[in-house]
Amino acid sequence: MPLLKRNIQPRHLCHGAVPDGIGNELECVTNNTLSAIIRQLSSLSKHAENVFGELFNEANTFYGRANSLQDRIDRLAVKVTQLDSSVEEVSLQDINLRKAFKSSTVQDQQVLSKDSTPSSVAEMHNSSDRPPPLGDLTAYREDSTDAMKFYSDPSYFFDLWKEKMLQDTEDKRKERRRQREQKRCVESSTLQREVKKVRKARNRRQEWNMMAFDKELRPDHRHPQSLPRGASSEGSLSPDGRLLSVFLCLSRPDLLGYPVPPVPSQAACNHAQSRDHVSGNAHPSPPVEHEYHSIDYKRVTYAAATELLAADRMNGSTHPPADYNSSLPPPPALGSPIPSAQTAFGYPLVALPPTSHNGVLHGGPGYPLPPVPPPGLHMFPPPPGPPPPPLPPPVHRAGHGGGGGAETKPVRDGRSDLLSAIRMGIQLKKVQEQQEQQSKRQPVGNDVATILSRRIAVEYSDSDDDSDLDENEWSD
Amino acid sequence: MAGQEDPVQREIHQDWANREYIEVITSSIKKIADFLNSFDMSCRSRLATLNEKLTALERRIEYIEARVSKLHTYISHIGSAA
Repeated sequence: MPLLKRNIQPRHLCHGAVPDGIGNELECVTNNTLSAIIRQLSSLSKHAENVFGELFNEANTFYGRANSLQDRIDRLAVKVTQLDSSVEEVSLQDINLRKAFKSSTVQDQQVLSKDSTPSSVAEMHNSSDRPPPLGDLTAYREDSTDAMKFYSDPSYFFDLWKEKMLQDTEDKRKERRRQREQKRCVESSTLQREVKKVRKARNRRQEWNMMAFDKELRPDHRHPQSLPRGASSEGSLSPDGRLLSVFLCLSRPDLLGYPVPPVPSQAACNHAQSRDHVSGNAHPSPPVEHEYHSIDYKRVTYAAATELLAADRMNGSTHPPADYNSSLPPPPALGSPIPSAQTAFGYPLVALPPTSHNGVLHGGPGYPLPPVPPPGLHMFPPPPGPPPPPLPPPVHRAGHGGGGGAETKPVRDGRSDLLSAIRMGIQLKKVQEQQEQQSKRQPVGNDVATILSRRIAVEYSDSDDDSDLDENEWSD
Repeated sequence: MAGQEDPVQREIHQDWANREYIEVITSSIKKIADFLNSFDMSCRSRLATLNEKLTALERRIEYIEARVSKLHTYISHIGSAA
């Protein structure tokens, strides 16, 4: 379907309503139609003038170029007649000193940008509806992304591609460094490699699970610009193939370039800690947040387990870990009424306060957790828990701290110290990461040409060395 | 009956004439719009070929200038090499 550049405005000639109380309606319609025709003619003439104007401007630029070319030719002609082969010049040494001829190839950049829209298209764009003023919400965000970007981001694809390119160049550089190190000492390098492979495999699984959520709903949100990650076939292509794919389809989603948010490591430590939290948190107040931890889909309803939970809560003992190790995932942590209310439903919810903190503190969007059941958990009707709007955990904690029983308080202090330590750790990480990222934002030209040229330079210099494709194949 | 039909008939007849008139005008407007579109397209394609020729010419001239200028080349004297 061709893009409409110009629209002739009164589209329907006789669709106007005939006013009441007119004797000869047929004539009325005819007259209305004729006046609409006149309006159409006027808009047609406006568009025609626009068309001819654009063509005229282009032809004018060509006229200017042709004129300058003509001048150059004339000068050249004069110069050539003045050339004299009998004039002596310095011979062999000077050849190498001369600057080699390189034709000035100007690469067209930003061809299809906002600035280069033709005036008619710009007019149409301006006359259309504006998007909602989501920019006002930017002040309320924790990370510094423009709220409008989540609605509509014109630079999304370019940013995606740019990140991918930069990441690729970084990866290439690291590979080269690694290869150099390997050449020096073989033993340590093999160890490093194995560890890397393992890590990559784990990350892959986590990433797949993360991808089940929408970008916003992911619990662990490391990057402020949350670029969605698709399946990566990056490693399977050769460097040339990769470059080609870069040229051909810019918007191919990339997965692996990124160090995945350390979900696995955090999840591991959260597993350990949340078990302790279970016994600690016994509040009468209703649970405010639940986080569906996407890692384990198997945590479904175990009525027996929930009873165990309830019993444990009553006891306040830290016995559960033994039971959980086998089947259950990190048990739900917030509020005793949850199990009691939901033993009927069975209790598939998993609330992990530490990870929830992660989600809020570092992550991107201020809305911590999605009250959306992951696809695996369709066995329970959405319990009354998640519908309550997710409040920020510190507030929640404060409220719960006040409502908690006396017996839970001393236990909680130990836990809260842990929690605060975790929070601090996470915050530290976040700041560090941001600083790293900012430092990484070296003066990169924001245009395709420089980025591509840099990438190609790294690529070709790397292919001179023995580029190792084994590792990449492993990762796929 | 005839008296009643006459003014109505006349009106309807007149209406049909008007409609044909309007139809002629609107079809000419469409023809003008089509002509403008095709003219635009053909002009753009011709200008594009012109552009290509101009760029090719510019590159050749650049090369020739480089050949002729003293910066990029050397002019050896006629005679035996050293």
